[in-house]
Amino acid sequence: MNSLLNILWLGLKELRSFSSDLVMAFFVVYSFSGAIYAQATGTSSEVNNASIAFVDEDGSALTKQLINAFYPPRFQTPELISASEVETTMDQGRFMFVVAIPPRFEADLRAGRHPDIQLNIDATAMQQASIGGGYIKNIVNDRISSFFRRTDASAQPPINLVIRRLFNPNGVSSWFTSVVAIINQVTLLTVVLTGAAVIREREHGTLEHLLVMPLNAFEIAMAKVWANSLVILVATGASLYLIVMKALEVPFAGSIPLWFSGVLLYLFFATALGIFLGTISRSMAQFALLIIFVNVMLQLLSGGSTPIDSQPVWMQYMTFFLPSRHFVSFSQKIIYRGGGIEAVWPQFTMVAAVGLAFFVYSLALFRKSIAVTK
Amino acid sequence: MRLAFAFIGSALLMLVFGFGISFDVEHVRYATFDLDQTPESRVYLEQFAGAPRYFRQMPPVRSVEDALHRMQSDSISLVLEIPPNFGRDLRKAAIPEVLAEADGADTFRGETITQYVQSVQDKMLRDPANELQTPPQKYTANFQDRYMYNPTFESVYAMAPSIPPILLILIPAILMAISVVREKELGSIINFYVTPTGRLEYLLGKQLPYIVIGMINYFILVAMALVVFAVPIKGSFLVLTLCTLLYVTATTGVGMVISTFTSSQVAAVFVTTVLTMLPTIQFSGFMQPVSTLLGRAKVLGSIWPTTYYMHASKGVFTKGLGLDLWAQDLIVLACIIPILWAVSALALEKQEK
Repeated sequence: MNSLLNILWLGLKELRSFSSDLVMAFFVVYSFSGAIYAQATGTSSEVNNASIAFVDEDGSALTKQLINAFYPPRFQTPELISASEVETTMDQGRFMFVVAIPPRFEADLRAGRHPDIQLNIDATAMQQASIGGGYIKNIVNDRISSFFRRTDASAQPPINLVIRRLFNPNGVSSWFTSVVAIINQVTLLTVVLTGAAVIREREHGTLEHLLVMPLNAFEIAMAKVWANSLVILVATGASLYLIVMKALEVPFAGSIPLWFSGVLLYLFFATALGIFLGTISRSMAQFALLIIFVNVMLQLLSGGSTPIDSQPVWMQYMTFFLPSRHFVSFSQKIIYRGGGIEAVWPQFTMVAAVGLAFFVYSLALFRKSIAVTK
Repeated sequence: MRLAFAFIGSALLMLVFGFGISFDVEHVRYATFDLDQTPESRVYLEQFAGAPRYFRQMPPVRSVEDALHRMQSDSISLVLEIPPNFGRDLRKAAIPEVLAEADGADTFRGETITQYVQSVQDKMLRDPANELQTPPQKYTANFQDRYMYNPTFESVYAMAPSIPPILLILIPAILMAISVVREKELGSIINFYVTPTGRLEYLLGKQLPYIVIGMINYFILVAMALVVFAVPIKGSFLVLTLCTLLYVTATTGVGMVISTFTSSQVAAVFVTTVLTMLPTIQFSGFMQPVSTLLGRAKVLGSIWPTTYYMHASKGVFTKGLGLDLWAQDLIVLACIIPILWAVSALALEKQEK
């Protein structure tokens, strides 16, 4: 009981020292509002405003129609270039896609042949290159088939493939990026805040103040966990409600309390990681480097930036131990697919297990470092 | 010690990302839901099993609820549903429908899966030997894809040149910011207050060692790209080095600006990570070309130094661009530096408040 009270008071002390730092408070608010909004509305894996050019060596009515089939916002208005300009314009990065239509294209099609279209893709932008290439093929083949259907009914494919995207029917990518953005900010801020709280105490010597009081390492660590978790939890809640659900109108298919229980588990892991990093680094500069390495890793390998399935198999085994991967995974399941506890319990367990391991280990380290100070 | 740490850390990240990040969507787990069970429906579904690189077959789905349930728990990402009478309709040329339901929770992956499905069907219908007994389809064009600058479309060619730009801003900026703020916090900045050292002299003196660290880090990363990933430098190494020098000067400058308005090391770490992480990873052309960004993301992306260095790095590594093409990056990077210097020199207090 006494111990609980100690943890409570120490936590309140953390909150007070946090709220007195206006610069920090300002950047926490920015990270959970402006930063998330800018990322969700500004980036997308969809093809958007892609530059495209045509080399039209046929010059038939059909190719005119094909060129007109590309228009904003998905593509920029196509430009016509000559075959000799393809290389240079792509080198300059002026066009992401160049479609080259050969001579006698329409006539060949009419004769039942399958003429070749050359599609040049700037593959340095991997995501857009593959998706945009697919769009162009679909649009071109659609147009060709509707062009000939006017004169020949058999132009229709014999099977009608109906494609539906479940959980996000229009493929709006801000649904996904906004939640991934929150997840990234949660990781970054929690680890920095908690770790910095540990280091600050040590560098300012206030840790000694705490040690002469009748407090133990567990209480000091636990107070940091709850106080910093609370700050992030409030910020996450506000961000989810105001930015994601209100401003971006992302529907929340599953249960909100379930998702927040997951967030709590994750915060437990992230604060434990923060304490761990704060304890092992000897100076702020070391801590800063660790923060960067760990965060870039947690962000880019979580499945929020590139699909987990695309990682090589050995990498998937490694990332299995990254709680951020499970955070992305259970968020997808709950928020978009509307999954219940039966769908997400493996992820919850994994996050809790890694969090607990870190907490126990860093508590031992913390205790040892305090003992040294004593 | 700190130095060794920075170098080993970045080498490690380069390894992990070079091998681990990939945009290729492969081995999509799918299940069939065949309500027809005729030879035709089987032939149709076999086409998907015949593309093992892209599709991996899981046990068939028994009911609509079963399908939804397995999609929710992410054990499958695609359901192919063949309606009753598919075979009969196909023989009568009545244009039967096939329903493909893909998991769209991850939009990029969902989009790619739907394209795979479409292209498997297109290929099947065009193949005269497809056993579906349909006349081969008329009026379709073949596409010859030509992936420029990355002929085999492997992620490592896109990744290896993109990782140095990220590391060469995050690390120098934060180390620089800390080194100035540290003096403020420990009080040794008093040396600067009481001596006639000029503001710019002080800042440049602090900046120089971190530029050197950044350059060493750059050589390590380039060596790794060449040796470990076997990604060749097609363009001029000298040009890239020149760009890097400007870039590292600019990125330490970013740290310098941040150091002027933060007063504790904690705040410096915090502010630098919060400010640099997002534009560097999301808005600099790493994930998607800057020209396709929208709104504020585009504005941020076009003033962020990483954008220009990313372009130069990708250009020199994969495209082997000539002078006229990277000159713009060079000029922009060179212009950013004096702006950052001016801002920090003006904002640095010569007296403690």
